Amino acid sequence: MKKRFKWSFLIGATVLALFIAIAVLSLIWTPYSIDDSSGERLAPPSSAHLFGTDTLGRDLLTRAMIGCRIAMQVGLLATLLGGLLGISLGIASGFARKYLDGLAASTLDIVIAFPTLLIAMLLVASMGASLQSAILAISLGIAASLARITRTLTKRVVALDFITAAQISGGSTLSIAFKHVLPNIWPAILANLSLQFGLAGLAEASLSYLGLGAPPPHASLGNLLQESQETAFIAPAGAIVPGILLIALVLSMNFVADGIRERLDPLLARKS
Amino acid sequence: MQRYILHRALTLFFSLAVASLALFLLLRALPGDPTNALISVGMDPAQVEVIQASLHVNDSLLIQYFSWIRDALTFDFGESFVGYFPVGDEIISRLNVTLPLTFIAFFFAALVGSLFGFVAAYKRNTFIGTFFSGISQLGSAVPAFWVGIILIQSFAIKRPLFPSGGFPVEGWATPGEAIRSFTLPVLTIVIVMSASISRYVRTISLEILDSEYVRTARSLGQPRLKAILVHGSRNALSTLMPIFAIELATTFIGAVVIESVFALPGLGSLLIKGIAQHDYPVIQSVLILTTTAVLIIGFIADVLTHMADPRLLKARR
Repeated sequence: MKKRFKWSFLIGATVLALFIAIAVLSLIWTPYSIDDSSGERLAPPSSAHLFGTDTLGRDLLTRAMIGCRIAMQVGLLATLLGGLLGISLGIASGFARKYLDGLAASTLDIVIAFPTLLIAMLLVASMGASLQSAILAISLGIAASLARITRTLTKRVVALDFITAAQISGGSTLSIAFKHVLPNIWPAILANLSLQFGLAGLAEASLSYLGLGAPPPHASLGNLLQESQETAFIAPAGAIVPGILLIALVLSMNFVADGIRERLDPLLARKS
Repeated sequence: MQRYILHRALTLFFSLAVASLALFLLLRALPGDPTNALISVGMDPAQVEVIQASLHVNDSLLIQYFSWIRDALTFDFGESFVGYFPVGDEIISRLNVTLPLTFIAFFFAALVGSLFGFVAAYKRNTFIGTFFSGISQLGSAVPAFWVGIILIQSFAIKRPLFPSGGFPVEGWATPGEAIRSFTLPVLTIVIVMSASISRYVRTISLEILDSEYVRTARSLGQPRLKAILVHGSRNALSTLMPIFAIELATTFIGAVVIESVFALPGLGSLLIKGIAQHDYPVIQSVLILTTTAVLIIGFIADVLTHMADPRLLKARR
């Protein structure tokens, strides 16, 4: 068990580091310029174009690198924004009583009623398709799901006797939240957050695949997949590479999450 | 318990009111006047006024909101700005595709996901357990539309076993054809959703396997599997119910993407087309219907959760 954790964590961390390196590299250097369409159309992979070219003759390696950068950017911003909002709302509402509790529950119900895709469609209908509205929509989705999960977890912990004991011995709600509730629910939340990071990249890809994310001159991985769907039979690399990249990103985030959880979870630590 | 249901129903009503108001205001806050879509160059002011009156744009927002709600309650969603079809009828015909797709896919995804998740937890630290949790990790990392693209490539183009997209014009009157065009979309959703469900089920099953009540039951001589199923299932239910509700809603909304990949004439493709064409009656109606559906799913899940775990009722007081 322990051995397996080490190598999966190592692989995850390595792939993640690669993604970060590619994202940073794409800021200063790409094999071709973004709008260089000098290549042959739908060329197969070659030494000049490692992943081949698209229907307009643009280098797919260049576009895939930029796609990775966009995915990382969306993941980071959306998780930070959504996580902060979601966790604080979740814990606060887990402690709320009486009509405050009801208010929190109904507010959460309303927000959760808008899955990311739905929020995104609403935002796109009013703000137009852009990377910003995609990030905003995804982080709202993350916030809603984290708030709900944190709230459920908090409520379950708060219902336990040791919280009552802490309350009787005079602990303030804030100190109980930080000292007793957060340490117990933290591993589950952190695991969820890292899952969300990868899923944010996926969500952005879905949105731009539908034409609701970053508009076409952008090379998001979803745009690449959407553009290559028609021609996937002639030039399969265009459909396969972005898909593999997305899977690698999400998987590496999962591995990292599992590693962190196995390190931090008090229950798991006691066993090993 | 009755008090809780009543309370939760009130919350549902309140949520519906706030959600519909928020939706209404957000779409009204759009730049531009919805009448612009219907006014053509060279119309005289009288004609413009007739159009504006028909859309009630000169009434106060509150009156507009209430008349919209009143009409929606009788399932009158107005006419499309673009196709001039009654939106309500169009939605019903689209639901004939989206609802079966959602429920069939969710049923299989929940079944497969629960099984995989439980086996992955029950057989942990063995090859089988690692294999199952590996599969579900891989599955939840794959973009749904990519699975769709790959399935179309493999089972519609290379080996033409199923149609690559579309839905028979006669709909469910030709069940064989309908099922054939449903196979790949359902398979796509099941692959992706069952993976995410099985991850939750695995986590919860692990919690139960390590719980003290299972250890107690084991020490009293119950076989492991029986101890887990008898004492664990109810505890699992109270945690799983809200998650299943969210997953069902996600499947319902996620159908939008799958409908686009397979060119299915469902609610999702109607909404995407509506957004592209700035067809506000369509956008507004589809969004309020989906929101209502998701809120009701949440309501049912919450009530069931509290039935399964009375500790939550106690914690409320």
